[in-house]
Amino acid sequence: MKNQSRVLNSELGDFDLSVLWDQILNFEGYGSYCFRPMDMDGYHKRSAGLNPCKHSGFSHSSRPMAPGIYRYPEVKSSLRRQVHAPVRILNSGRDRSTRQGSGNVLGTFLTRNNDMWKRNALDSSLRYRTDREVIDVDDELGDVEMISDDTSREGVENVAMEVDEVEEKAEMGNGLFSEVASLKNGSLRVGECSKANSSSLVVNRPVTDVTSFEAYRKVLESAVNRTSKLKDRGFVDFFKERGRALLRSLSSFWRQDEEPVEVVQREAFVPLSREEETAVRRAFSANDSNILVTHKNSNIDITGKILRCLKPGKWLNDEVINLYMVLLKEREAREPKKFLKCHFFNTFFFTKLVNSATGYNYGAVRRWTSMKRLGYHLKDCDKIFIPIHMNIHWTLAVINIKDQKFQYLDSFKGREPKILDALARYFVDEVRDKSEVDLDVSRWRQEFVQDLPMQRNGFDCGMFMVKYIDFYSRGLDLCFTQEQMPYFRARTAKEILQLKAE
Amino acid sequence: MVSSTDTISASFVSKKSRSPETSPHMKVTLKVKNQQGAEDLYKIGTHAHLKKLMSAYCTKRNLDYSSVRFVYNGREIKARQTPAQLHMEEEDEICMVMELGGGGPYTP
Repeated sequence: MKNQSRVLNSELGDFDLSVLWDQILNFEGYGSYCFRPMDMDGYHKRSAGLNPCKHSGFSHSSRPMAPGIYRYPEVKSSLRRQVHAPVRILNSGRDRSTRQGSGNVLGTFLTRNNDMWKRNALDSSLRYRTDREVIDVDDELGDVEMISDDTSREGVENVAMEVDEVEEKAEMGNGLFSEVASLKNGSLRVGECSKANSSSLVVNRPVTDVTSFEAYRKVLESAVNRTSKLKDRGFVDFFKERGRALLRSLSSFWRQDEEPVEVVQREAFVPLSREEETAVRRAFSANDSNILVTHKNSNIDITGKILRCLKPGKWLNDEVINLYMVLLKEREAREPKKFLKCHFFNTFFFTKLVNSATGYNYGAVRRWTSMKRLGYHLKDCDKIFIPIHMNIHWTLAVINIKDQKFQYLDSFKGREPKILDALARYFVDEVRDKSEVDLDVSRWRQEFVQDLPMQRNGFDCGMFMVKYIDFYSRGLDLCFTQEQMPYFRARTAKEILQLKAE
Repeated sequence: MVSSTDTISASFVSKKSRSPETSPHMKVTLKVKNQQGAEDLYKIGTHAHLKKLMSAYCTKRNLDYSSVRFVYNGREIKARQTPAQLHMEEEDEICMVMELGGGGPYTP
């Protein structure tokens, strides 16, 4: 005891050992363990044979690894720091190393509860399930490493390893006890103690003060050791494979042909080839009345005169915009998984819905969106695009069903609340007429988009409007500028000549 | 001046568009409405080209034929289409819209 007192004094400073004893004896419900201060150096020597905590990164925790095995009582003490260690309980109720001078009170206390502890220990060992962990013996270090299958505790998945038999022999105390834990065919056999006839499986865990820097350093070292061991055993490849499997299982939640945003963005800026540039130049210089292309479904003819509105510096013509809307719809039908489900109204729609003479008139456009004509209901779309012509200026209104808002995009950042009010009213009327459902759009937001590319001249508003539609239908942000307008004009001309939007 | 080939192709389209339930001499009355809400009524054969109606309207209203659009049920009408092709019925409404163009007033 003197030796122990000396060690404790050096560790904890001067204090009365009896205070600590009283503290320990006042604990309740500590199962098969008795805690007492002891020589930590001696403890590590004795427990070097079987120490699952030393190199595995385990630290003292109130959460048990397996039920009934690591059960530490909560310590509430006035002491700044305590050193506790679990100790084997003998038949007499005491460890041999503490027989002299430990006091009658402690002996009586331990003896009285000996039977209960033995019963608890046996129960806990029987409850101990081997499918919760894999025990692997490291030949170099001679200690046991436990890899739990519970990721909340260890963060390492259980790996099916074929172990015919793993035997652990640990000498404890003065070499009087030996215990064999055999893992055979998935069952844990607890060997009998040679002297004490105790059937309890005791796993020793040193308690580390986690507030000290030394403890942190040890934990860090053990984590590094653990990582290197896992790498040696091919765990990295295993986890990579598990990760890939997880991604594959999640792929059903994603679009099958979904491409990264960068790829889609690149598609919006594909430069024209020399042949395409030549074809566009030739089309721009064609005769006024010369019909360059005819779109059969929409019955729109594009003549040389009409196409020339796409030359830099020209105002966009409604027929070019209308044909481009049709091409965008065909593009979506071609690759439905790549583009949002949208409806593209032509330039006449808003003119008929709202005009200076009659005001709002749903009846004028009621038949424009019949199921027979479209093949779908407007309410099933993600977005509805409405080109707005304001005297000599093109703007865009969007009924964004996906995000439940009405948007207005003006390349001069204008605001027209009346337009969005009319569209809100139209959408309610449309849903009521076609689906016989009263839709409440009172909570839908009205957004006058401000963070958008602006025109810096007096002729590009039509092109800006067309590209707002193009980018929004791709599900992209408006990531273009005034400088790209000449390119977009040439590209739009090319797409119209090919009758295919890309 | 209309060339013979144009006439042939026009008559071909017209014959092609005939449906068995409508006789070639059957006529339909159509409303043409401008952006101000003014209406004009025109009677036209179900298999006649709608260019006749459009030209008559432009002449009456003193409009340039190339600068106006005629829209029916959201789609622009072309000269060689017929009421039968578009399944037009009595008193159906055709909308007349002026050509739309714009670049935006530049205010630096």
